[in-house]
Formats: sequence, C-alpha cells, structure tokens
Amino acid sequence: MALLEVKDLAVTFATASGPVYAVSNVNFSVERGEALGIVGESGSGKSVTVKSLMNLLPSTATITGSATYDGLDMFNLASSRRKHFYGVDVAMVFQNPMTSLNPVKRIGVQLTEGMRYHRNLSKSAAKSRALELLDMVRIPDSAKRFSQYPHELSGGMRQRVVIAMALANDPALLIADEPTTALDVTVQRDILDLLDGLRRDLDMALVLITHDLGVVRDRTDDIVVMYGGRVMESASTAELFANTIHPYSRALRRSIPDMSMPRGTRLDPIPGSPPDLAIAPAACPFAPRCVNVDAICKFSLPELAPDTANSEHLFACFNPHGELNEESI
Amino acid sequence: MVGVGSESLRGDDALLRVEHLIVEFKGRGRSKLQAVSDVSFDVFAGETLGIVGESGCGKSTTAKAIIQIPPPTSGTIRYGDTVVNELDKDALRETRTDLQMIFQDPISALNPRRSVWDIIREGVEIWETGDRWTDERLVELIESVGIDPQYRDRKPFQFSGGQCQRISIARALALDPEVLICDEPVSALDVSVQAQILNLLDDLQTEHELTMLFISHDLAVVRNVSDRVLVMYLGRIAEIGDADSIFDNPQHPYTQALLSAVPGSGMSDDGSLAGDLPSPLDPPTGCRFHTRCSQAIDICATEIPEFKQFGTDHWAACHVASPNPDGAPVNL
Repeated sequence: MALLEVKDLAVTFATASGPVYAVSNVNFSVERGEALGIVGESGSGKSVTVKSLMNLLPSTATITGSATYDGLDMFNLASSRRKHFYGVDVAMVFQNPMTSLNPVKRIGVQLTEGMRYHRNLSKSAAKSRALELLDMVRIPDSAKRFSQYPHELSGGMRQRVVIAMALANDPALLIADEPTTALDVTVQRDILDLLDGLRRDLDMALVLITHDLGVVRDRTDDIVVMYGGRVMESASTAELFANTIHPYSRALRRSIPDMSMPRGTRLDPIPGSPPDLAIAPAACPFAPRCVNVDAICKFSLPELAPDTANSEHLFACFNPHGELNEESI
Repeated sequence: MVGVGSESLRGDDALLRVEHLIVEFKGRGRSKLQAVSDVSFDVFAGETLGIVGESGCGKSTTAKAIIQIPPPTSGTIRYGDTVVNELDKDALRETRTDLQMIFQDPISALNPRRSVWDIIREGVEIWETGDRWTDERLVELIESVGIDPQYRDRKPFQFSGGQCQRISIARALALDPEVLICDEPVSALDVSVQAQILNLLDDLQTEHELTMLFISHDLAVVRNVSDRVLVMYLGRIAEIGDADSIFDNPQHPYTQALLSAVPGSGMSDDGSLAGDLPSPLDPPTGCRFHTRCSQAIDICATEIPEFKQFGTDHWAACHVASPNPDGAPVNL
C-alpha cells in the first residue's frame, strides 16, 4: 500500500462571483521513502492540492475525493488522531521562510514547541534534540543559533530552520511547497540537496512542489504535471523526460531557456494565458493554447489514462501526437 | 584600481559608459552601506548587457543609478556625450526619455486607477510637441506588444501579469528610447508566459534598435538574451565580457559556482559555495568573495584582485585564476 494515496481529489472555492474550480480529478500516490515532484504554473492547483491534504484550506473550500495516509482517511481524522497527525506523521515546508517563522520568538522556542507538545519532551531533552536537528540541516554554530531570532539569519539559514522544525517529530512524509523559490540560485541548490539527502537518510517520503522542471529533474522518482487544476501527465521522472507525451508538458519544456542553448535562440512560447478557473471543467483546460487541439478537446474532458507502451505513464490528452484532423474543428 | 578597475572599458564610442560608480546608502547611526563599490562598464549601441548575481549584489542599484534613482555617491555616467550625473533637473528629465526602464512586478509598476491608454500616452503628451506620435502610431505600438487595442480603456487589474508587462514595455517604448533597462522583467511571470515576453523583447530590440541592460538572477534567461555579461558579487564586478566566452569558460570561481548551481546544468559541484553572503554593511577585505571561495589563497583576504584579461573581451578579477597556465605574461 502506498504511503499517500490521493484519489479523485477536487477542491472548489466559493467566492462572491461564484465557484472557482481550483482542483479537479487529481490522482497520485507516493510510496514510503519516495520523492514525488508536482510541477505546474501558478493556478495549476499544485499548492491547493497539498494544502487540502494538510487541512490548511479556508472554510470556503469544498473538498471531494479521498486521500489516505497509510490507509488512514486524511479528510476524516478523529480529533484525537488529528491532534498528533500534522507535524508528526506529515509535515510541511513553505515557500517563504520568513512568514513560516514567528519574528518575535527565538529559533529555539519555535523548534522545541512542536516536540514538547507532541511528545511531552522535557525542556532539556527538547533542546538537545533541537541542537541535533540544527546540525542535521547543517546550520553551523547551532548553540548560538538556538537563541537567536529569525531576522538574525539569512534566507537560506531560515529555510534550514523551517526544515529542521518540520523534521522534529520524524515525519514519514514531508511536503515542500516551492521551498526554494524565494531563495538565490546558489542557496537553492544547497536546500534541494539537503532535502534530498535527508529524505534518503531518514527514509522519508517527499512531495516537492515547484514550477521549475529543472528542480525536480535530478531529485525525484516520479513527476506529476498539473495544469488548470488537473493532472496532465504523470510518470517516473526518467520516463517523463525521455518520453514527454502531453502537449502541455512538451510545450513547457520547450518554452524554458536552457543553459545549453546558444545566445539569441528563439524560444517556443506557449501562446495565450492560463485558464479561467471560474468556468466549470468541461473541456481540456489546455485546449485554447494547444498546438494539437481538435474538436473533441473543446467539449470533452480527457481522462488520465495509461500509455499503451508503458502502463505506469499516464496522460490526459485526446490528441497527444497531433494525429486527429484539425479540419474537423 | 583593484578588482574594480576600468580596464574592461572598450573605448570612447560606447553609448553608455559607467565609470567608477559608487552607491552608498545611509545605515543606522553612522554606518554606511556601500551597495556598489567602484564599478565600471560600458554598453555599445544595439547590444544587450546581462547583469547577474545573487540578491544584494548591487545589480539593481547599478542599473537604477544610471537613471539617477537615486543619484550615485560618486562616479560618472556618460550617455553619448552627456554626463548624466551632472545634468540639472530639467535636462535630466529630458535625458531620461532616452533611458527607459521596465520593472520586475508589472502590476505594481502601473497606476491601477488609469486606463492603459492613459498610461502609455502620458509620456508622449509631456514630451512630444510635434505630431510624431499620433494616436494611430500609439495604437500600432500597443498592437506591437501584443495587446489588442480595443482593450485600451481597461485598467491594469483587468489584465494578467504577462499582459501588464507588455503594457509596461509599450509605455517604455512610447518615447522611442535608445536604452531599455530591464530589471528582472520575467521573474514574476509564469514560465509559459516568460518565453512570450523574452521573444517580444528580442523582436522590439531589432525593430526599435534598442540597447538593453538586462538584469536577472536566472542565468539561463541571461544566456538567452545577452551579448555581454557582467557578474556582480557584493557590489563589485567579478567577471565581465563576451557572454559566450564567460558562459562556456567561466574564470572567476564565483561565476563557476553560480553556473554550476543552475538546476540541470550538468556542471560539476566543485565550485559549491560555502556559507552565506556576508553582510554588505561589513564586506570582507581583499577579494570580497574569499570567505566563500573554495580556491582562496592568503593574498585573497588582504588584496583586492585586479582585472585580468582572459580573452579579447573577457575580464575577471581574481588572484587565483590565471590567464595563461604556463605563467607566461599575457599579450593580447
């Protein structure tokens, strides 16, 4: 059984101007110790998906479908279980480390708070565990950092502290939502390497959310590509890069400049703008921007189905290779 | 003139020439933060200079000092025959019509209460007394950045981020500038939209014969657009020169570390950076990079490195990098 299994997840927000269909029909699973990358642009539903798993959505959100953690229904946790679920079994790291940390509390207080609450550790036991965690995330001078405030640390160091906090109770699943987007490219690599190393050392499953395909390429086992609140394609990382099937995934890869491209290479942009999520999903969300668009794409929703050559490679597209006739539109 | 010299300047006929630029900000009490420490470079007409570096390295401050926001603490900024930092207020305003800028966050760069038409037209109304800019030409300009002119009465919030950046570009081009300074123009945009804007800038550069300064932390984007590259670290130039030469054969350990940090770059991790960016309030002595450099030797902590030439147009300020592995003097 997979550690995390998400089935037919849909999230709708009620707004003053009607419902917003942020996520629909999302399916994926994560095995123990495995790393999954969820890739998508803003509005693709990647953050809403994991926030629904973490019980972090506002009351305006309606969640349907199911998510199980080790067989346990995450959307219907008994309150006694829930109390010691988030931050213990599943933990999360957010994009901006400054907003994840309380600016007026010392690092040490914030690091030990969760341990003392969930595990009833004594102050001194919590402190020694906290120092161990700071060493684990490679923060030099951990004893000094323990009594400092967040503003005394650089952005990269703060994100390390946030990671240490997330690891405090040995979660089996860590969700990292764009953990390096707010950081410099040099720091980004250190943080990604750190997460990757910790995952292997602690045999922890990792869900890494990003808009950057390059970030997940070397560090995940599987990738889910999302667009307009739906899963467009999912496969093992190696398979996805070797054999990108969905026109959106292919367009995304082509549109990103690459260090190996000579100067002045014309990019292949995706025309148009991301979809309006206020419209109930009734057609492929990528149809208005797709080069392979066909009549059927505009009035019917493609199901996520396996590729004939590889049953582990799923994609949702009627016309991935452009064989259908444009004239039928 | 150490690490900060002007050896990399290429001649008097540069369109834009920045010499010994220093920008200081007042800190708490008597402390001063030197964001840019003696930086010199030049830009020839029609070329694109990419400026890269980590946040806090002074890349935006350098670009903004060119159009005097704020005026630099010292140094000279020459635009053609004009010394920009010596102009009086009125002359500076007029010169700025030639030096336009677009910003990172396109939505906050536009006045939310005004229509797109008013936003783009304002500069023309102030500066164009003749009939060079007719309504028809402005409509053409709006069309050329990919905005449907029928939406010209809409306000910025009715457009997406990518469309707002197109509007900012149209506003900058309405005065027919010579130089376009782009400060992280695609960083706030989605990857699928980023390519649209980069291609648009490429087209407009050709069409309007623009000279561009392109600031970005994204090295792949800079590689895509730049003829020359300037790599900054803590207010100083680490490496400057021809983009291909620098990207294919980086000489400064900092540039090497930056390039190897790009996800999927396939470059080795040898140049990995130790520690954090030091505080610009108290920058390290000698080479400012020595505290994080894997190749640092004793001299790096005490003496500021001079520029060395590594190619026809390739300069790096490093004690360790050697232009000629045989140790023979370089004659270029």
